[in-house]
Amino acid sequence: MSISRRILCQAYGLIAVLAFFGTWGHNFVYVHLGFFGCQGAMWRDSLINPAARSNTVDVAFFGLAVFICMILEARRLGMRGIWIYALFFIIVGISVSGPIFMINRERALAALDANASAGTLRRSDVVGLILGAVVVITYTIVLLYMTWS
Amino acid sequence: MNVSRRAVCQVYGLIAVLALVGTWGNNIAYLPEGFVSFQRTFWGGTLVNPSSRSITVDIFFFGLAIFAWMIMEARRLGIRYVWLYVLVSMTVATSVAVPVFMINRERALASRDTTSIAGTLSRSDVAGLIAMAIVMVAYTVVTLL
Repeated sequence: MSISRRILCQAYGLIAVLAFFGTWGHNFVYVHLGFFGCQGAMWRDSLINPAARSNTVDVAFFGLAVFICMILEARRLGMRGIWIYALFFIIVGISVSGPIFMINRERALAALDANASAGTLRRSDVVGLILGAVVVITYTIVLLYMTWS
Repeated sequence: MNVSRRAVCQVYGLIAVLALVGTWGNNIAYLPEGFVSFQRTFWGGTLVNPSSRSITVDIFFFGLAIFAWMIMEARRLGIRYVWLYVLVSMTVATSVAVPVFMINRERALASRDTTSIAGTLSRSDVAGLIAMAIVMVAYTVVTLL
């Protein structure tokens, strides 16, 4: 099935908004420490046990690989301000700035090619992605409950 | 400056290897417990404080956005077994599966377009990426000590 750029951008936008609340719903605990205090406490807490360290290393290298692809795409499509996304990776969240880049990439692609379709997916792909989203959102709610309670 | 597909693939390969060592060098602490207990202890360990919970949510939503793009790229370029990368992300590490997908994407692009150039980067882009990589490798070494 064909996926329109509009629908894809709306999905990326929804992911960015949910990711912002999902991450900063935890980060706010550190905000009263000020910018440097917040950064220090967060990174110190990320080292607390092997699982937390593994996840932090995972997101860092995952981000590096995707960011290389993002820069190559940005240079190919003439997208400006690519390093602002890298800055946002660190100070806001990789899951917020990544989808915003994807929206701007779709806009840049639409400027080159007026085709409204972003690509095609099988029905099973859409079902798989929706199931993945349901699991991620449910898990996020459970984690937010843990921080807030 | 032009960046060859070969150089980009070598960098992705290096990232996958470093990520495997960095993640499983930490995960190894739970291995003696067996698969089920490993999963329980590992995921329990990611819940211990707001920072570790935030990073877990961060990787999940970023993964969701990138997997949506990966699946569309796979369908466009005819890359097979794209859901296998999702499975490897969950069972090995996202930072291992995604660079391997990127390598296969470059190979698929090369088969459509015979140019050996993956794209262009400015010298400052390369310097920035090297600086980021140094910080990440240094952090990884700290986590493994």
